[in-house]
Amino acid sequence: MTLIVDDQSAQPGTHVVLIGIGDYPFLKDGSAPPAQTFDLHMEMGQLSSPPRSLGELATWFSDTQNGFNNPDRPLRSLELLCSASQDPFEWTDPAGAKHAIGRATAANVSQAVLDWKARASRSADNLAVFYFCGHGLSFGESQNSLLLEDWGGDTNDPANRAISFNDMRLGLMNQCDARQQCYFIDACRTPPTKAYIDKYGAALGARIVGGGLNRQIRDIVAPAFFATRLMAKAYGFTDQSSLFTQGMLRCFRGVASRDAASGWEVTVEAMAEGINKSVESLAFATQPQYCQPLETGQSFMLHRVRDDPEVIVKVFTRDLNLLPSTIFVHLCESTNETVERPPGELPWWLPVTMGKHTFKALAAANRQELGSRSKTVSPPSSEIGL
Amino acid sequence: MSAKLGISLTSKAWNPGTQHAAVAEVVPRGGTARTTSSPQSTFSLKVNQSHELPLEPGEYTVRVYLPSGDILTESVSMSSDQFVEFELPESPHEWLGQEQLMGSIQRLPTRARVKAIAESLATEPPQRAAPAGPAATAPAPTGKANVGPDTIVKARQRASYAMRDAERACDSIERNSGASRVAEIHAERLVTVIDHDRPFPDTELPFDALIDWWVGAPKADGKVLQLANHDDRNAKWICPQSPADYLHGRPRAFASVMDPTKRRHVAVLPEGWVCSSEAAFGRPTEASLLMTVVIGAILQTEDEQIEAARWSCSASVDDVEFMTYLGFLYSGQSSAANAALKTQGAELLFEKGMNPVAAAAGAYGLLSFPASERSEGRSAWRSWVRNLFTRFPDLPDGAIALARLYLRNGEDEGSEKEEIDVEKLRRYLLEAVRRGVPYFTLGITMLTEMLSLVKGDDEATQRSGDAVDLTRRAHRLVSQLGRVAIPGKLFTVLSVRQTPP
Repeated sequence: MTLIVDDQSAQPGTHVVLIGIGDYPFLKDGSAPPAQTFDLHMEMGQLSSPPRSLGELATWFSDTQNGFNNPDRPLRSLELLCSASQDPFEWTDPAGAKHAIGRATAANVSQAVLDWKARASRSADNLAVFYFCGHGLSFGESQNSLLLEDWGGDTNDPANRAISFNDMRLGLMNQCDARQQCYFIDACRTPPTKAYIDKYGAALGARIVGGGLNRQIRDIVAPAFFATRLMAKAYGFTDQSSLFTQGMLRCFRGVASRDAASGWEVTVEAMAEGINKSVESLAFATQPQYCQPLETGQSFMLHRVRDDPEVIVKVFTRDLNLLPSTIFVHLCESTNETVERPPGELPWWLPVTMGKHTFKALAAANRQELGSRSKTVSPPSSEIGL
Repeated sequence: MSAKLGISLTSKAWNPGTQHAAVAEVVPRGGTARTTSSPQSTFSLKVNQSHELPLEPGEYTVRVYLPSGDILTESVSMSSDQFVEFELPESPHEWLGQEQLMGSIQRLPTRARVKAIAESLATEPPQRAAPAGPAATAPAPTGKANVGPDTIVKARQRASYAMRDAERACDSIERNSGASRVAEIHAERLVTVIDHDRPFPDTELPFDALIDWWVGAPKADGKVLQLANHDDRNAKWICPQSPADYLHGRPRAFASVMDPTKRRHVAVLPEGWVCSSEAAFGRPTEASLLMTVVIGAILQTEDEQIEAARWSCSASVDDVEFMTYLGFLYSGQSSAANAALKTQGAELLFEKGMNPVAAAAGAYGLLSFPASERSEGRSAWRSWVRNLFTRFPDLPDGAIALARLYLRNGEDEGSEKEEIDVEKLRRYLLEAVRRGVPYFTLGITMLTEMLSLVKGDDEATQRSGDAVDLTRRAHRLVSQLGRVAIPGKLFTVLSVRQTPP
């Protein structure tokens, strides 16, 4: 466990815990001796994305110049846990200081969640943010298990080294005083195999915080975002931060922002669509049902964008057959800068700053203009068919 | 001096001005609110009919929310009259228009796409200061494109994954769809009655027995449904008209479908439907069933062998405005859902009792909206939910909605500040389980969560007794139901792989 920030204040603020797990010693290709490898690993192995995702998100939350900005609830605490092949995982904060980050074992995560709960309970007006990136199992729509570093190490009951996410969330809604709670679950939601269920049943993991019933639950708003409802490796690409986290960061740069009197605010309600648009641009096509929101009906502000927000633009020829012979030109009218995309067979996804932009399609053979459109683009995205 | 903003949502496949199929939001552009006196405006949009709005001069953002979860955006500068036009995504067939709108039909990858990605990978990175290939990175603060070597490597890696995904998907689609595969689909209609007094089993049930427990005993043998329309990747059945008492929970209609990969789907059929939109309130309409090929697994590693394409089952009703509302509710767009609920004539929905299933969906929405929006012109909303529970004693979603109301808001304004009576909550939840499988997937999620809470409270306080035991059994049944329910479906669909005998 590594507490990066804690100002000890009881004033309203944001309390964040980020957990990233790429190193699973007892899973496939793990560092434990072969005899200790969990035989029901279900092909789950080592991940390179979670430490990167955690690092990028930690940088964003702690960057007071270009990162997290919630004037009503400034950052008051930030705790990190990370299991990476590099031990300990070293993270460099925006000021250049290096931090050795504690590992995300079951014991450490349980303690970190309890500590985070205590900090977040310092004021009922706090916002508590929980982020997990690593392996997950889904036993059903409301039964998600988050696998901690030492999962598979206890072959009598693997669930001892996992979090029963939905139960933990309900427990926190009952016991954590922060009225705004937000959960980001960047994990696979693949179902366990029959062999696993036959041997271990459907135990999901530790609740960490138990859920008795009290009326506090009526005052709590606790949206959750899941990386995928597909049978997918939610974390994405080798040595890159996960698709979901890249999408989250784009959302915070403005893709999930909405117009407000004081500028552009990233809201809970806009996050899922923002992540989906971002993933579409990163994966070259719609990835259906990528981000699944839970209880996002009662929206609140997560972050206020500092400058003009980012917008994702998709440029294409209305006749898709023309794409391979078309050059696209983008002119940003506020900076007067031009970029060109050479002929290609896919549409052109590009993130731009909100404002007026001109897009042109030119014939590759003679640069004759095939179409042009000027448009003021706004979040989350814009499609320019030429 | 105000100017007029015209907004239209167009589609070649839809008749002009008949149905509200989207919600528009017009809002002063971020940071400019103080320069205009026009407040935010949110309203339902009809397809192929222009909507006019007077606005003070200023800068505005216009967003159109589609029930698939997609959002279309335009910016306008209102110094004179302006007009903005949005287009609905094109549907492959007219008979799939509503399903396309709801996002049920996926745009599937093609061999041409595989080739396109391969060619983008083969292309040398551009020499000029332009984004690499089809991808780009975040803009630098000035808006300049940022194309470093690391960016190009990342973009190429993403492209190589995308190509592998598309290739696997195409192989899988070819294996599992096509005219001969469609002909293998067998769809039956079942009519069942759910016995409220059936015992709650003390052990986990095999999946087929679990489905039988939740959907009830068939009144007779299933009747084969006749295919109405199909192509190589989609098949649609129109269900027979049934009396409106099918919406009361007794009897109930389901479709049991065996797909070509030997997966069994059991879908709630909302038969006996009467339109809930204000303009057509009370008009009987048909339920339909769709089987469509979707991509269900992406970003697999090379050694993973999960079939990328699968058949997906969903039920719907020919009531665009209701389905639009439901789409917003599921995609988490509560403001749009609230605007869409207004076109349903919420008061009529609850007071008249002609469509209790639609009323239950209305209740789910009211319970998810912020308090300020929920009670807007609906002072009696709590009693609507209570009445739904008592007037329709076979409707599971009515009991779930009342339990949710009690848990999160209190049954009436007076009880909102009081402690939660766990026995009262337990009664509503057990009653919901007795009434059978919820009409809406959302109901299963809510029921699971609430039973987890009560079970957790029983454990924390070391309660015991018959009711506690029954709660534990109910929790097990609902948890198991959650394992076979397909997430994201509007009307509940259960799905299990058939194992050979």
